Amino acid sequence: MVPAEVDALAGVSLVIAALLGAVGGLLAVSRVDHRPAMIAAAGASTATAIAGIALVAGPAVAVRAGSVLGYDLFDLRFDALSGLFLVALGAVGCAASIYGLGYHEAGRSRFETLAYIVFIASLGLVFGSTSAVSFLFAWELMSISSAVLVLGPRPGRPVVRAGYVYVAMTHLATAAIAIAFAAVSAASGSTAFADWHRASTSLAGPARDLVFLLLLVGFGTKAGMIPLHVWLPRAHPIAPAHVSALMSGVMIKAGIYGLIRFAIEALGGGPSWWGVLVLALGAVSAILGVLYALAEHDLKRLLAFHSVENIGIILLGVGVALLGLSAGAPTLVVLGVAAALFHTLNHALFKGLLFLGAGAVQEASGTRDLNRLGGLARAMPLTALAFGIGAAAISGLPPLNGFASEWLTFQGLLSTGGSVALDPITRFAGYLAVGALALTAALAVACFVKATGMTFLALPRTPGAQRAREVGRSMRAAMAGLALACVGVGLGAGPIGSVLAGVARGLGSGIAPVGSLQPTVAPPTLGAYDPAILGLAGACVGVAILAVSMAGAAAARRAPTWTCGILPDPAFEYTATSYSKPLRLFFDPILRPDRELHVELHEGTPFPRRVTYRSEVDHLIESRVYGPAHRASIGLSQLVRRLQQGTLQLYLAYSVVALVILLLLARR
Amino acid sequence: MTPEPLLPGVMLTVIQLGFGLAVAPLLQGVMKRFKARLQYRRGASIWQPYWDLAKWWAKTPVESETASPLTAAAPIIVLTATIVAVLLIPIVALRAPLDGHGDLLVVLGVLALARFVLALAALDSGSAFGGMGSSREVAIATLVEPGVLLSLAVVVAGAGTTDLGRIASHGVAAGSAALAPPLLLAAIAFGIVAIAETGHEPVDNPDTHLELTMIHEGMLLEASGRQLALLTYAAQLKLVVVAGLFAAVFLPMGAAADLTVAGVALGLGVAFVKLMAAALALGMLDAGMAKLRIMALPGLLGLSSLLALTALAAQLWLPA
Amino acid sequence: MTVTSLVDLCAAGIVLLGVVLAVTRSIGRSIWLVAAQSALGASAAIGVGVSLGLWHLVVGGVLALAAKAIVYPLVLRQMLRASSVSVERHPYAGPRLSLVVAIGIVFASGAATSDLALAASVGGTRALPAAIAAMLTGLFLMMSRRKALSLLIGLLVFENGLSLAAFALTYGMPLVVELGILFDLLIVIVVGWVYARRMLRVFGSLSTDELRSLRG
Repeated sequence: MVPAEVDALAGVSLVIAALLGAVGGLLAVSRVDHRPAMIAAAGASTATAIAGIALVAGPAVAVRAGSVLGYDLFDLRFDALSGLFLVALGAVGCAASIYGLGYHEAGRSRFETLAYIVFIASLGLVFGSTSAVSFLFAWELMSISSAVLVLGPRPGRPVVRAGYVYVAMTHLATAAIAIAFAAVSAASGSTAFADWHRASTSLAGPARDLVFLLLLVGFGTKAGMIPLHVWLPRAHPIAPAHVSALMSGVMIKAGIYGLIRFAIEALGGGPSWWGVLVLALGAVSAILGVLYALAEHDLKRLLAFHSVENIGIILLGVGVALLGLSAGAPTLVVLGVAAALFHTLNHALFKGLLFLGAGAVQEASGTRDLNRLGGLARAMPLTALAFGIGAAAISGLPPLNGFASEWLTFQGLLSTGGSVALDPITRFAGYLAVGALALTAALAVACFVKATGMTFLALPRTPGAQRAREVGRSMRAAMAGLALACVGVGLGAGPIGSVLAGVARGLGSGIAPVGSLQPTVAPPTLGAYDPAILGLAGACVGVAILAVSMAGAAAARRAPTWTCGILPDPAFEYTATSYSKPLRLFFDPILRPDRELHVELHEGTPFPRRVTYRSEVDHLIESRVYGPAHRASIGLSQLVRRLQQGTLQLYLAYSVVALVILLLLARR
Repeated sequence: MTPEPLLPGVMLTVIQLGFGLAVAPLLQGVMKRFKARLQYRRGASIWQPYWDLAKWWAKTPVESETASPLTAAAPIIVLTATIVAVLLIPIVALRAPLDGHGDLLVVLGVLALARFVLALAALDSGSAFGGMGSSREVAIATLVEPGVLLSLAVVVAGAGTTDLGRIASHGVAAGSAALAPPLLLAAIAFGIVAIAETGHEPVDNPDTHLELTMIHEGMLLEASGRQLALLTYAAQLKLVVVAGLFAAVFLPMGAAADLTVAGVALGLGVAFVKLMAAALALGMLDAGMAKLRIMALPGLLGLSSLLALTALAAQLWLPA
Repeated sequence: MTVTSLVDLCAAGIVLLGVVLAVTRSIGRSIWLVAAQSALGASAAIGVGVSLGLWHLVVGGVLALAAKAIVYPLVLRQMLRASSVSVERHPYAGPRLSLVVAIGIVFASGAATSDLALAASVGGTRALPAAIAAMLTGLFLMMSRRKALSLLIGLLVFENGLSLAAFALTYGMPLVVELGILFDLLIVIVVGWVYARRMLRVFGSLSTDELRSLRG
């Protein structure tokens, strides 16, 4: 049924992508100018995206490159699930590479450009690995190359500290994943993923739960799930914008890929508390992510926290799927996985767009601080429009792509609540998650009105913002491309949704015995969302109104804003901090804002000269969880330190004592 | 989904659209006159909103010098979104004009789009009052949305679908079961947030002239001429949307089951009565209650979410 | 003299020299003692190799003799001449305590290995306990002395014990491994020489008391 051309298209595209990637790597190393390498990377990414689209619709493609040291290191297999992630990688990679052509923070050194190429390549390898060893290899490669990109050339002390947190947490993740892989390999008897379905029967009870928790910790850290998210808001602001776009758009999705591939497909789900746990973590990540984003006025940190929020939304879909597996309700599984995959793709598109926009804003005005920006729409109309589309998409507004995947997630959660196969507590948890998702969506609207409005509208608040000029052609083209993709995917959500449902149904055919996830009953008709028709209807209505309003009446007149008789000044505008004040008040128990107000008076008079207001938010996870853990581990190390007195002979004595004890034990 | 003949669908669209568009200002006029009478005033004519819209339409809009093209585009987008919402709700009949193309989640999404664009445009003029209104509006929306979705989830749980037409049909078919305690609780919960959505007391005072107390009006403060007409009209239509949604979900009786002339006529009449009842209820609240402090709003709107959750729990644990 | 009795004799000599080393405070004398100990071990290897016709033992023994009995002690003497002190004045364990500990080590290793049944080993029942005693004595020397040179001497004693053990269990080690160990020792001595010179230059003495920075 699937034409043979699709299969061939996927294979050929992958080969082209690999070749272009290799060319890009060579160009990166051999030339100081990073642009040829970026063009090669853009080409490779486009080929990857085409391959992904072909894979999603068609059969899998396998590449055997032979074994190294007895391990099948480069045996790759790309199936429909990998295909979706490849589409995201390709789209964001292409946009980021084109953006990097004109971005002054790209290609600061040859090593960095090479790391960029390696980063994209390693992501592709992660999505195609077929055995534990090759997966971990690609995973480490991805972590290391992204760490190089985050730190950049000649990093200063604060950058190194932030990068250190990133590297440390990423290795925590790798350790957890490695242990889980080891356990499953032992249970199933081989390190190849294709054999792991045997483990789903041999691993039982606490061992299985432990493996699941390890996978959740490992992949959740990479995804940025709360409470393992602390590296995200540190790493993204210091990375260049196009790298942040790739990291937030694709790299954190590698965590989601891992969860779907291993917890859902390989392990085949588990008891219902798995699903409830993932739902809870997803809901908490979503709400806390967006709340902390609201309290931020650094544009990139705000976007980083939003990534935490959107991962939470994706995890809601994963949780629904896990619940479906535990209850034997294939409809739920399909819904959940389709929602998670769709939101993965959409988030890659609009978060990539938003990060590129933030980079453009920073390059044009020299600052990321919302309280210092403003009025950029006049100087940077295309950036403003693109960022606005991205903001509307991430806020989940129809007819853009964000709404479609949130709609699907809502349907999944409502179905969970209504599913008679689950026990009442689980169903109630599903409804709580509905409330959480609604809260998140409304908070996201608030946050992005703030972000877009403060950056682009009204008057510039500082001279830096006043001097802003539109960025170069390549950067604009990249942003425009992603914005069009958001609109296109949004309008085409119907067919895309059915394709993704097909991907979800196809899960398990590669690993678990075929047919385990096939829905046995047709899914009941839930509700409908037809963005194409709605968009058409909206367009007709809009055009009609436009026509009526333009008929006859004169064009608008311009006048200064009334500010009670004084000339309008940027100081009259609302700032980002003031915009989020009502929300900081409403969510005070969670945010715990700490407020500082200083008033400097003119000497000898009661008239204020300068008023400073600072509001800091207490990041509860960091102060209540990581802080004490950090202090405890340092305390423990101080205790152990007493063993190290500095005398050589004492250390020798330790060895001897250990040796003697071993001898005595060996004698027995 | 059996394919519907096109002509009745088009007829329904025209009828419902015409009805909604025509009656929206009248609802506001009646509400204001009712309020006035309750306050021992004579009040303006019930047709006054129409004349106000006409007056504003004729005037040239004055835009701020700091405004971007968003200021001109926003009123059109907001009104378009609200009209699309009207088309998605089964007000007159037991199916919406755009039935099968959008469910209640889409209605909420479209309303969110309108709110987003309006809040953004309010920041465009660079005035503090616009920022204030915008910031409060989005903050209150965060308290409202969970309540809306949870109270509607109660209905969805009962009907098994999010499609509004089928929910309405299910409600009619259920008959007296529609008065079951969970649904009553959900109706109350939705009622509370509906007050916030339409911007009436005790959440927002639509008659205030003090900018510091404005929420929705604050966002319209810098609008003038055509733009003000469009935005005000959109706000009036929003009442039709919210009241229509309440009616479709909780009180669908009387809507036309099939598209016969008699049925549609009856449906129109019943819809008019329902909308008028909603307007009068809101008017009574306006006249009788004072605005709550903003810090008291989480309590009130959180109550709505709590009621909805209780209703859901009742549905899950108590036998039907 | 049979092979076994030759080995036994050398083993006994090694143990005795180890005990004497524990008591000796003069570093110069310790160097000669350890040279003698190495010579004993090497000659045992040569003797056994000659009598059994195992050429690799002979080669290894000759090399060990040249290196451990001649070259390394000479290097150590050179280091000693360069430094100002020649006596271990304040070891962590005094001569009387060291004597008690050394004798205790001999008895303990004897008791520890007495019930190990070793089949067909050329060393009989006396070489292995002697080897373990020598190793432990070497470690003890390293632990109880302060001067850097004494630490190196203790290392050499330990090494003697190690090769005796290998010898007692398995006709010596393969030549490659022997060579490797010898080169290892060479490196240790050289590094020790460099280190000693540096210590002299920085601290003016070879006392390891000055090396206190290796702490947590």
